[in-house]
Amino acid sequence: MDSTLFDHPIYGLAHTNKQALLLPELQRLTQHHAQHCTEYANLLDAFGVDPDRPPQRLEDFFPLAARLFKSHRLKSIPDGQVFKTLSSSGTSGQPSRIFLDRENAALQSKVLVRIMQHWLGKQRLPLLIADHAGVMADRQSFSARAAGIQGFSFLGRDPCHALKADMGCDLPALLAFVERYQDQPLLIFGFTYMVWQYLLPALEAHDIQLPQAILLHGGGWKKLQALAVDNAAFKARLAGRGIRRVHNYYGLVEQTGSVFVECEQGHLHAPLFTDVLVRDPLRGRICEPEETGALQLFSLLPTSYPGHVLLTEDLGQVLGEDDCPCGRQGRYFRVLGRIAQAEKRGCSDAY
Amino acid sequence: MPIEDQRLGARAARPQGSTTVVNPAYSQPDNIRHLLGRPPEEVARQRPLPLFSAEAMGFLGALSKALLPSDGSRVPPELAALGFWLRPAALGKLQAQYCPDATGQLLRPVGCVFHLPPANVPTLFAYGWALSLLAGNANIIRLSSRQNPLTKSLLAQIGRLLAAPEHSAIRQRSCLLSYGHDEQISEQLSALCARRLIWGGDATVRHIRRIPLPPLAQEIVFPDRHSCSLIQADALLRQDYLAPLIQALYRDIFAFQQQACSSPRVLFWLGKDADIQAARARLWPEFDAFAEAQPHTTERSDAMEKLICLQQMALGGMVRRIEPGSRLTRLQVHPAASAQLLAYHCGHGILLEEPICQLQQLSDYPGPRMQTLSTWGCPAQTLHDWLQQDPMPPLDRLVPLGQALRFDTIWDGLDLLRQLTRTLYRECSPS
Repeated sequence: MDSTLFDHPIYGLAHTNKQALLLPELQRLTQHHAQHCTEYANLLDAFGVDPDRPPQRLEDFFPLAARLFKSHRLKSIPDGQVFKTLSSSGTSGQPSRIFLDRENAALQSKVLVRIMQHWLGKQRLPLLIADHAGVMADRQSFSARAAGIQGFSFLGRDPCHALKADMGCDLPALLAFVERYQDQPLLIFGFTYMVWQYLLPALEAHDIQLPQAILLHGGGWKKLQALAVDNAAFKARLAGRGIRRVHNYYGLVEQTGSVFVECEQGHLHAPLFTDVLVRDPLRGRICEPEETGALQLFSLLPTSYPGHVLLTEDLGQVLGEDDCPCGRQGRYFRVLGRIAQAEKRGCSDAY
Repeated sequence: MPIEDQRLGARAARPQGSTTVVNPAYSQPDNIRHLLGRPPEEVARQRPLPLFSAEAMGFLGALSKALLPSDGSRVPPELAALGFWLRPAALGKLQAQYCPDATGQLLRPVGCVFHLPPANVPTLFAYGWALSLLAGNANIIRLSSRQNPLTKSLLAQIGRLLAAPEHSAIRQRSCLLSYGHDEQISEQLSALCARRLIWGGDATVRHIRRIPLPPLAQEIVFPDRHSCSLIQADALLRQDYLAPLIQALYRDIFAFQQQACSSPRVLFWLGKDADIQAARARLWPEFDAFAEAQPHTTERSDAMEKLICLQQMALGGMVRRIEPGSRLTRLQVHPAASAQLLAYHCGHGILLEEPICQLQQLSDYPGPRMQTLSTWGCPAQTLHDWLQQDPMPPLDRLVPLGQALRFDTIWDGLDLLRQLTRTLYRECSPS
């Protein structure tokens, strides 16, 4: 990736400037993966896509179905260069496998830090995790939950797990953390459902207020929807604990590092290095703004595997570009859950 | 008499004096949902009816009539096909075939049959049930909880008929129910049956097979199969008018969203390369126009499955070209590649096209035996000669194009009516 990209603000480029940066990088990635990943080259060939005549608009890039990382080992590096393999939760069916070399792994971390610094500041904040320590160790249930905690925990310091293995509150640990950090900025991280179902009751039972906390949560709304809890209800209950800075995040293990964070307006934003479009799988075309379809995600990060243009099985809508009242530039969108009946994925079913 | 299973008896206990057909004990979620007929152990206790009984013929004739309305109102083709298959005249022909006077062979019912039909072909349960009724058996049918509108509409028709007093003999011998993947329930129902009929595909066959049957019972299984069509290219080029061919091909491919085991997923083009290319160029534009004009709805999730499936097939380098028709996507594949690609095929309008220059190539075709081959343009004598000289033909069923989905009593190489009866052998001492 062109290292001068890092000179630009994360949410500060309007359409024309951003496209001018993204387009050559995506073209280069398409050619790179076509040269180094036989399966990807086969795919482009069968669909009549010539990687040497790359598209001039994001809309025209060939989107690889994210599910293919479940059924196939797709990588653009030799076996010997695999430094790290990421897996999605395997709670239902095959997990995705993403093969990283050192360079790609480093790039993911670097970009994730850049994005999150925008929301959290440069200081690493004390970290309260809405989960139990064992979720990391238990390979059987190693899930999107564990992967998320692993990926995000280095954003904070002095981590404290608020829960015990039985999802009860680890009261001594929680109280010690609160006593020490209550009056300074701190970070809470957890799966949306875990925050609602287990952390919030613990904070309420002990009347803990955390007015300086920033909550970063993700992992799907399905379980909360089943409880008839929407984003407004979620935030209102958090406000009762003094927690007003709340950011939902959305991302795929297939594009780790490229994370979409919810702004104060409740919109998910595509940062530099990424973009998002919505595709109508019935007609194969790109949807209009606010039209519902499958989210198609662009990321400049995948260099060791062909994941730079992915078609997800998540439904969403692009809400606008460059004009979110929060002031951030770039496209913003919302996620509406999985396509019904499509193959189940782990995220929201992880617990 | 079947052995009373205490646990099942407890589940099925009917409140005293109740006259409702639906038993409250079955309506609990995650348990059995009783749909139609009588409770299973009551059904299993019934005395069988004779083969081709007046009761069974009357009931099936009435069902046929209900599915083929005389006022000309439109019926989904899948239901109309069932209605047509159940016509009294058609059943009469079956009767003549299986109840001959002269041969001396006596076919007799087996008792109670437990059916586990698939969810992907909503009317299939009715064919198996009909044959078993004609064989005189009582029937317990486990339907998928994923019931599409077609199944619901068919069940509504059946329900109306079963409630009629003249069909009480059939009602007493029928139990249609639905339950989740509950091994204990499958075990209890299996204990009641003399035949277990599994239509459900490999995973279901593997799963249900582990559940014991009474020693005297037999199992009939229909695992996952695939089917193909064949068109002789030069015959197509000689044809002026392609409409009948296109209708037949459309019918075979698009019934049940191409999910049935007899839905063709591969099209073999027989002929010289130049002829095949010319035939394709004539057929597909006209086919696409016809297909687009047919009433159809596509779910977003099905479109997504199709898109993913196409990519999975193309990854391995065995696809030369993908040609997206508006409803039917064609994949021109390298020779003998289709057998490997079938594993990813999800239906919903995907056709693998493979050229062959002679029928014998099908005999050497890799992969599992195909279920149905529906053909067009290939002379009957040529087909006959090919099957005659092949000791192990690569198919179980050969039919004209357009007939792939027509249900036959001989299916997957088995004579179903014989499988659902027992053959009574008798040798009397000369006196």
